Amino acid sequence: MTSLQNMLLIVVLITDLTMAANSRLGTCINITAIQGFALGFLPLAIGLEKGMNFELVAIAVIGIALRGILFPYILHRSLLNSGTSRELKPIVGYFLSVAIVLVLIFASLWISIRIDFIAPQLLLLSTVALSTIFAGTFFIVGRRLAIMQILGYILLENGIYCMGLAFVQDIPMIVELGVLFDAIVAVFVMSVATNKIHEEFEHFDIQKLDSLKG
Amino acid sequence: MMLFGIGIGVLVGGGLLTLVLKKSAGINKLGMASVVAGNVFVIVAALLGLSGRYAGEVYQFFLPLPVGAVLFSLSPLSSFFLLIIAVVTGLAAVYAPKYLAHYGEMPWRFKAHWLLYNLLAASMMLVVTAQNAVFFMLAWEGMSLSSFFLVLFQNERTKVRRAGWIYLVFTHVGAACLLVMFALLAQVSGSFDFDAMRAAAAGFSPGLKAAIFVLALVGFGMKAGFFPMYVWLPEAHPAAPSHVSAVMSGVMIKTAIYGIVLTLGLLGGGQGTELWMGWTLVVLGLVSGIFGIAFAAVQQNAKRLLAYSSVENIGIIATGLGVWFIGMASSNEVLARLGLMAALLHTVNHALFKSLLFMGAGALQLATETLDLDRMGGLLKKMPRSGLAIIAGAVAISGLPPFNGFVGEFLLYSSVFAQGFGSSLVRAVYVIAILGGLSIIGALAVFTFTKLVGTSLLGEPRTDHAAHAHEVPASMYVPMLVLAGLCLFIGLFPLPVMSALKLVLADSGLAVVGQLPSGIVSSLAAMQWVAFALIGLIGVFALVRSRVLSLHKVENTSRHKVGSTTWDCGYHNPTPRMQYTASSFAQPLASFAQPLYSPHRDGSIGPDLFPAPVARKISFPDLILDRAIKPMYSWISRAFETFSIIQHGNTHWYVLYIVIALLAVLFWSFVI
Repeated sequence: MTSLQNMLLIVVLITDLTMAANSRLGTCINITAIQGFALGFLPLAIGLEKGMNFELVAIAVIGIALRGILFPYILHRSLLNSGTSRELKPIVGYFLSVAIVLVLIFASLWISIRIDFIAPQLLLLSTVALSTIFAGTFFIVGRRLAIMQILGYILLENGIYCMGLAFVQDIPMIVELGVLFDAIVAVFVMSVATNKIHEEFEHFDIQKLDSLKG
Repeated sequence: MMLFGIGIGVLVGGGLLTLVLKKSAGINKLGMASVVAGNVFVIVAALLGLSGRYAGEVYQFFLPLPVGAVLFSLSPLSSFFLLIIAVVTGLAAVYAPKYLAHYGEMPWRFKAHWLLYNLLAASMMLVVTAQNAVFFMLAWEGMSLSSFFLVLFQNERTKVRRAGWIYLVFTHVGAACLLVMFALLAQVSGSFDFDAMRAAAAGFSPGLKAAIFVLALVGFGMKAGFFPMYVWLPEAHPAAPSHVSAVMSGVMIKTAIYGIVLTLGLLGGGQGTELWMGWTLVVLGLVSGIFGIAFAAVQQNAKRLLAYSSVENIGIIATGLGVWFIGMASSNEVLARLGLMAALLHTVNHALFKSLLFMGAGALQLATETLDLDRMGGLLKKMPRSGLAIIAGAVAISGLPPFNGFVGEFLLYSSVFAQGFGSSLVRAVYVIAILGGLSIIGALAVFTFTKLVGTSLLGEPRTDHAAHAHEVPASMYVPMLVLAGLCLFIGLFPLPVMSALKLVLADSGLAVVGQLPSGIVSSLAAMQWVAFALIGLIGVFALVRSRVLSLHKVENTSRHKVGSTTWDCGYHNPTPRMQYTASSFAQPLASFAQPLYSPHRDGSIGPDLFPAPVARKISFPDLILDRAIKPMYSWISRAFETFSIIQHGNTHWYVLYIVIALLAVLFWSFVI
């Protein structure tokens, strides 16, 4: 791993942590945008080390376009529609959230060391991947507002993408496109659903959506 | 063989053809005509098959199946069951149009009814002729589904729908057992063809045989209605139209008896049986018989009573099959022969008189618009012909001479008496237990059917409907009288019937050959004369009675006339409401065997000073359905209710469950 790649990965880790500490939804969307850019440049950094080819460039361009630009744009739009700007009463408080994400990062490290089919020089990559997955699921569980759930889902997808990089080094284009297509559909559906929920109930606090239980 | 194919073709084609007609009357006529025409072909084919003409031949129909081929044969055993099915479904079809007409003008429902009825008849015929397990199961399922939809004829009623579901559940649990059984057999023998299974049977291990026997017992028992599995019978029979109940109770449950006979063949005949199998069948049969008739005795609904009585009769048949198994396992040829013959004869008998009685119940229902025995009474005078048929059926089912029920049960008794299963003391106890059980069944049957006839046909009408009842159309009582005539024929001429049954016994799959013991033959011959003598005696008594009455009439002109009614309980001028009812008839039995019935009483007769109107209703919850299955299910549902705390309603928690589960798996895989 070159220092450029390491730097990008550390940016990803930092974005996970800042997400945990931030209550402003707009800022959180921007943070995922930054994470998207960092992950988008990662194939290019790998290309610089091992020799650039068309596939890596294409993956980078598509990744940046979707993760860095399209998703944040859609989410900002639905945020604007909702008129909400902050998550005021999260289920897990901000200080505790940072602590939990830190614990999750250490847990990821613990697991990554024990995965024996990952090369030692890729330890950082798999740690970042796992902790992003865990952080994503944590945001889904620990936040009330639907926008934050979507962000959690995007983090989850980003983590899976990283994990793929860690396992097979150069992701075939088709796999990467498959993952991204998944994410696009999910983000679209979820934003539409969020807007509908907001229209219907004047809020999108999903904790209040419990009347369907049997 | 060609005849059989034509018969099935006419049945299916006729059923489909009813779909194009518009008027109810036309639909009913065409449906009836197609069943009768198809069944005539099938009856001829079955008679030829019974004579052994097609024995040992297996025919293949060109239609390919996913697994195996459409193989069937008309062996004497198959032809025997085929004959019963064709006769009863044919007569029930003749009965059906006028019965259906009272539901009103509903063409679509009649179309569906006739299509399903023809399919039911055809699939039953295919079940008893199939020679391939896959084909057998297809026909079996066709039979179950078509009868399920026939039960749902009046599907707008909640009770009917409930009955239908109970039937569907039971029949499918049974079918599941059969699937497992055939899969096991196919795995061991390498083929789904029955012939291949029979050939491979010599190599079966005892454990495999036991598994197959138990699966067959449960699978076929669900359909036949053995003791703990009979639950659907008292639910589905009252819900279905009467001729459908007649077919279901008279012949459909007999296909399960065929199934058990078939299973013994698949197990390799005599070498394949073991003693415990026979005893299991005997015990199951006796328990079914006693419980069935005990519950029949207290029912107020005529068709529910008949349904419980079917459980009893299936029990008697199972006892006969058990004796056959015991005879096979202990290489006692005579015992085997008598047991199987008794079982088969009782199968015919029950098919005849039970379908007769169900049609009779339908006739009573049509006349009085109720099935409640407590609302009938005095119907023999209003409907003499159906009444006569019902009385004949009741005497036959009670096992009294000169009818066929007596011959069947006599054969079973004598098989147990004649052989005695050896001579040790333990065996003697067994014999006494079987004889005791059969006697209890016989006594309760007489009690039950005395009640049925006594409260519905005799006495005074209890309601206006009953008072204004009139005879049903000829197309309804003629099939009943034909059935009654067949019952009488078997009762009067048991020896020809025995020789026909001997042809069945010679079937290669059963491997029971040889002559009946001469003692039994001579007693059957004697019985024949006793039956004739009895009929002669009844004739003489009738003659004397009419002479005496006519003499009396002359005298009566001079003195004042004394008239009295049946069931007057010693009162001089009782109202019809003071008569014995079906419930009061059964009351001594119900209070004697209270722990068995645990009757449910609504309303009370209080010790008030002044008489006031009181209402009292007594019902008898079913032993298995209401006192075992329902409590069990409510317990299960309560147990699972505790899991509903997991269903929080909060999405966060659901995601958290997933995360926790994933993390747990992840850490677990690295820690271990």
